[in-house]
Amino acid sequence: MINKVLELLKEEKACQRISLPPGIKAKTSGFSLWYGSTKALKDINIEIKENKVTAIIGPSGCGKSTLLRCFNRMNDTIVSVRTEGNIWLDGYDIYDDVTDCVDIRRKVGMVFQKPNPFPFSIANNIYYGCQVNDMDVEKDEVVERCLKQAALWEEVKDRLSENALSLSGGQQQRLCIARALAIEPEVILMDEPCSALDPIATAKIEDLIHELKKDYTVVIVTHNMQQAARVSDYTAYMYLGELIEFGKTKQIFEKPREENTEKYITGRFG
Amino acid sequence: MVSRRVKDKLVHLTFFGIAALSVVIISFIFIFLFIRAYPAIDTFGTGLLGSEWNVSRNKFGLLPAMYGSVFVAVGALAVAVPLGLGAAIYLSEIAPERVRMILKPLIELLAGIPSIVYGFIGAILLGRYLYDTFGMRGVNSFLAAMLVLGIMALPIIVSMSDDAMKAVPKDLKDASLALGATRWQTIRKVTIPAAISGITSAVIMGMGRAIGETMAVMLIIGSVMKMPVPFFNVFDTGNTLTALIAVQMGESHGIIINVLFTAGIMLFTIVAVMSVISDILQTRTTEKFEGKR
Amino acid sequence: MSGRKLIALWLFVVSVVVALMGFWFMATRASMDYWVMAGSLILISITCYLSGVHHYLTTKNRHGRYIILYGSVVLMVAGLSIYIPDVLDLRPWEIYTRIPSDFFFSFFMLIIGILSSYVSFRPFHNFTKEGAQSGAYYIIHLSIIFTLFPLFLIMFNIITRGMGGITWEFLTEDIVSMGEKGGVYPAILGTLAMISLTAIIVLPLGVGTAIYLAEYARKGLAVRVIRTAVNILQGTPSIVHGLFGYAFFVLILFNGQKCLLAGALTLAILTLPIVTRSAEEALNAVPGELRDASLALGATKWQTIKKVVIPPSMPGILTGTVLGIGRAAGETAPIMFTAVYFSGTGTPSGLLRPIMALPYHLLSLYRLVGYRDVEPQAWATALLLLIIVLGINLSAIIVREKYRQRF
Ligand SMILES: Nc1ncnc2c1ncn2[C@@H]1O[C@H](COP(=O)(O)OP(=O)(O)O)[C@@H](O)[C@H]1O
Ligand SMILES: [Mg+2]
Repeated sequence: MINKVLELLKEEKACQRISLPPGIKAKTSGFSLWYGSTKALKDINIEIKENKVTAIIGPSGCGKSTLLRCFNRMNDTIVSVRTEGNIWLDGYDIYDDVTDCVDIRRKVGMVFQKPNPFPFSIANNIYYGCQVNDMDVEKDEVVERCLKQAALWEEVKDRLSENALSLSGGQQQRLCIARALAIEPEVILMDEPCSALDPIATAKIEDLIHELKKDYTVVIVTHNMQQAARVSDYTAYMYLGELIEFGKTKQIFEKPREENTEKYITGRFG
Repeated sequence: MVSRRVKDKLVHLTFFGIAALSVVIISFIFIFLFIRAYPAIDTFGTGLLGSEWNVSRNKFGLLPAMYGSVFVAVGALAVAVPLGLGAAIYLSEIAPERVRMILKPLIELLAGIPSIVYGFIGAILLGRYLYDTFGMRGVNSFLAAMLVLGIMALPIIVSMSDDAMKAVPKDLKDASLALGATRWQTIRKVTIPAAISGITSAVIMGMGRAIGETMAVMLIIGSVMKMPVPFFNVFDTGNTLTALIAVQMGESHGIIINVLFTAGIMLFTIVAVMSVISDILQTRTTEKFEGKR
Repeated sequence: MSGRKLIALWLFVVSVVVALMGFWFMATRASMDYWVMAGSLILISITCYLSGVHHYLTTKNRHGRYIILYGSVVLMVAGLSIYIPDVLDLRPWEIYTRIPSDFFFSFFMLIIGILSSYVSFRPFHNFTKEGAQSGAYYIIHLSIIFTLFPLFLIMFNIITRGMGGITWEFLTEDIVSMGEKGGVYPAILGTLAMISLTAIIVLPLGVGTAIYLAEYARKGLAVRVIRTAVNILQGTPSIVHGLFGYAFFVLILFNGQKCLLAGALTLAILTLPIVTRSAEEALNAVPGELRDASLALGATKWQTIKKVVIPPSMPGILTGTVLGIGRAAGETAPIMFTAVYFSGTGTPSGLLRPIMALPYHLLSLYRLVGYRDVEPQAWATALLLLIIVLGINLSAIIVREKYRQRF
């Protein structure tokens, strides 16, 4: 009891730091994750390159989403989750005890599988992140900048105070991307952002991803291999919680080193 | 086999008949209350809305009781809403699953305590405590009624608000967390606004419960047919529609009984309207999230 | 060791102690000296100043000014309270109340104590949004405690005061001289008879309505009307049920005779929506595939409902019925114009005869408190009623929790 109180009273330590090689934004080392007693990620080692698009592919249930959510510690919201190993972001260990996951999430934005705008107005959806992070910005400016970046400005500029739920599915998803951009993150995680959208909306989002990589590091999960080939520079292939192969997208799709990868890519998979 | 199809049809009709019984009951309640109330309405007309209740002068103004009902209910909500919202937030957003499994039934148990027991305890313990503390004229007061009704309205407010907040989809909360909001910011700025119509409906139901509560109020309100003086004086005694009916029914004859039925109709109408509003708000919450996503 | 955290923790501990003291003084109505209150508040405000100044010195940013402002407010409350008269007499303003200063002092200690413990989370977390979160969580935890507090208070008082009165004689003897002597046997029997009859009446009606709503109803006007009716019925005040029972069952069906059957019918109407809702919930929990499977095998709809849907939802249906019965057992208002006369009514002697019931007996006893020595009997009756009602509810809740994860 007394020890606990003393522990509580300690000054916060600074976070552990290592230096990552240039061009590497984030890196996992020996990272494993359990949901209760089932091991969903097994000893993952992967490097995310700065200002590049990294795609994670693999059959469903292989742990793509789980891995993605590790980069902003969204798995913390699930009670039964336990992790081992480290993930470094800009040299900081994001799984260190002293790291605040709220700070991580500010640096690492996320776009979800289903569009999930808040039931507020379009403008308030975008401004929300600035509000909760006490950012000192002009609301109108942020809204305009983010909507333009997300290629949505022209479509919605006259209806900024309308409820976001009145937008179409594709527009909603671009709004969610714009919302993620508002907090000026460095990395953007996307979990199958197009799976709920039609082909035209999908094409728009893919163009957008191309634009985004100039300023951001993007990690995208997809079950659509053509999409991975189209948008990404690097590709990671996962199977049953393991990272089977990771490399340049061209290499993965043209001459994969692992037999398992080749089987999946050529569609000869069960 | 004709009989099998015919039988199925008959069964369908039977169940429809049983279900329609609720509608019949509601209409019957209204009709029969009205039949008994009619002589009073016919005799006194708008005099029933007056503020003077004097049996010897044949004045039966129900205004003091109406005011008392609303006054008590508002006071009860002032107690129950902040507490109940806090408790609901705890249950739906903070409590670990195991704690929730224990607390939710406990709160339901609070709802199960008979109102006469609340009234008895309120009068014997709370009434005496307030009497000693504030040096009032007697143990009965609006304040005691408000406190007791507040406690009685708590469970319904807690459990309905809890349901409303649980109905907010997890992916909205996740979206907020992913933007760097703390869990508290998420609760305050996403969960509560998204659940607001459900929470409002909970508050309305709580108010309906407070207005319709009889036995507890009857024992601690004083049953004096007058307005509190001044009108916001919580230390004064007074009456509510429910207490008026409960106390006077056993002691009165003739036209007063009809007046009491008029009070019953008022009560029934007020609470029915509140149920309907609350119901509309509640379906609106569920539709907002189920229809759209 | 962090000085900032140490000061914040000190502020928290002091505030909680002050709040508890205030609560204790309020509950016991102990007489209180001005300086006990002022001393506590001054201690709190000094700690606030300390925290604010320390924050400014170590970080040079000015978030600390809020806590200094707060400290000043506390100091002001302490200072101004010296003008509170020994007894605040509101009678000149026609409010018949004399509030002693002790009340204000202990009240201030309680409120300021709670507020200050809330405030202490800010400096502890260095005025970040995490501090706001911890503070809010603290208040939320307090509100769940205060929500459950009356429950424990009621239980504690009823059990300690009623225990002694519950004896074998109390349970088995007739009511003698309006409850001052003897037991409550007729009232127990009356309540049991009434709720059994209510259950028999309401079960088929409630389950039938639920089956219609869950299995047959399609979206449409009729269904909307029925649902609305059930909801209105659920919100209807019990005294209105009592009036209706009197106007319809007693006056029209039974020729002015208050009786067991009239009371049970009234209570059946009161519990109908409770039973309907839980039964509907139970029916809806049965997965649609089961119905489809049965229909695909050539069963009719009714056969499907009877053989496939109802059996697995039986625990849920029974739970709902039992919950409704628990409610019925404790109700007074609906039966006092429809089924009971007075304490000497005796044991139930027929469907068309009046009865005595426990909740009404408690009411009669309460009316005698102060005139006769019946308080112990009243507490014992309250305890007995509580045991019966909560026992019924508890068994329903346990059954429900046990069968919850069926699908
Ligand atoms: N909240 C959870 N609790 C328990 N197991 C989970 C949870 N989420 C995912 N899983 C399990 O972890 C594995 C990986 O899931 P996921 O990362 O969602 O796969 P993918 O996105 O590749 O389809 C699956 O086997 C899934 O069943
Ligand atoms: Mg996935």
